[in-house]
Amino acid sequence: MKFSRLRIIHGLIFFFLTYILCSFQTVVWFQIFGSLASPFFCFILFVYFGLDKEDWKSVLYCYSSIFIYSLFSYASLGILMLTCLFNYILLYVVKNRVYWPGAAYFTLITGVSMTLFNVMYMVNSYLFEPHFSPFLIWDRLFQILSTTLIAFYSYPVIKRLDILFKPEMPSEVHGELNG
Amino acid sequence: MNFLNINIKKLIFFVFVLVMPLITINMEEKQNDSEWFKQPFSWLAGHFQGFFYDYSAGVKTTTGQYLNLIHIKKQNESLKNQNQELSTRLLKFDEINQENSRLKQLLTFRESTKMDLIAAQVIARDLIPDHSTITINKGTVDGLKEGQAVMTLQGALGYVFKPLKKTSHILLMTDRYAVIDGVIQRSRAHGIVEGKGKTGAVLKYVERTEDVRPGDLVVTGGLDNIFPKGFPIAIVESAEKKQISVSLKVDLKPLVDSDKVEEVFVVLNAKNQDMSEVVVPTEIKN
Repeated sequence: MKFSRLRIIHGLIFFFLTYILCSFQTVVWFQIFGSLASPFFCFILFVYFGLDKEDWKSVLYCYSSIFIYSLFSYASLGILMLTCLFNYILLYVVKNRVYWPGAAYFTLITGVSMTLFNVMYMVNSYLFEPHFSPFLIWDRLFQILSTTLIAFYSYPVIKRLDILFKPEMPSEVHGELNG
Repeated sequence: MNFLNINIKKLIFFVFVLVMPLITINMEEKQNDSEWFKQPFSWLAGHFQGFFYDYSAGVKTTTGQYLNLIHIKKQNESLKNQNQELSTRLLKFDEINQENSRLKQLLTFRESTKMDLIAAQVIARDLIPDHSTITINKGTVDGLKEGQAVMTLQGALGYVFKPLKKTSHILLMTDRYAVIDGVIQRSRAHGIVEGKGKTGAVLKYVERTEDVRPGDLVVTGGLDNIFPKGFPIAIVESAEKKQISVSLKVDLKPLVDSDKVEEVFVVLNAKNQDMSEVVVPTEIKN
């Protein structure tokens, strides 16, 4: 199979995984835990792509995931985009300065990103929406903590999935020189 | 010196065999005569018997208990399994029973009104906690359109904002973007019900001079062309007259706890029905 096709398949797998995680969060979580705020499962993938992928790939994933989020929420696409892109910039800046591979770093950054997401969402809502977002301190706190905790355990799974479907670069053909 | 050629051993054996019953018969005839020498032996025998009886009874009891224990253990496990199965069945039964009674109530309500209603189940919530929306399992193929009212037996819940083919997104009245035309049932004071997050709602634009008291029922006004007139929305929690405002500050507690809603009704056609004659919320009744 062609390398470009493999890359598309890899992208599509994560695109659908985002869909699955959003559905899980909105449907299954509330069936089991009722009104308890759910962890932001799909945001873990967002952070993973932001930290682990090349710039163009992470930007592409960032936009597509924002689009998917908007399908599962009443939140305006603009506010979501502004909030997530701000987060993406943070990830971009951080990974270019401090980076070490592993679950601990990933968990730390997910926690920071999740906190920033909530703060930025409220700030953006206050600035651009006629009715700004309610404070909901316990819901937000629970979401930040639970997402951070889940990030630690899901990192190896995402990494393995990523490696499993990672397209291999075609190896160069080495010819022998005669004479 | 054995003249008659008799086998002495055999003779002694035969004599012993014949004499023993004779002695026994003789002894039985004179029972009381020989008691004195029998007594210690009888006493000893009695004690031995008693000891062995107690011992064997003990062994028997212990063995029995052990065997019983094995049996009881097996029985216990089987009863435990049975108990778990029954508990699960009971839970399932309770769940079905509750669902049945809810559906019965919905059916009764549906039959008591002339509106075109469609029942739906809540299948999902909003991705972000900032917004109060739910998703139901009915869509455009079932005749749902944007702006149709969604209610439960207890009161108004929200309205359809994004109908898809097989599912629809509902904006709950507690969301900060939701607005419903509301009337205080007792004093007929008009206002606009606006959501304020998970905590509840407020009744805005009610004139200062209006009579609004805590505990008053707020019903739909019918001017928004979404809800039928007179359908219960919320109860007044507090009403405050602010010095610098021209209107009252009225806090509301919705009658429907949106976190616990499982089945809803979507109003396909209200047919100008005044719901105040049909529905009286249970909280008010009590």
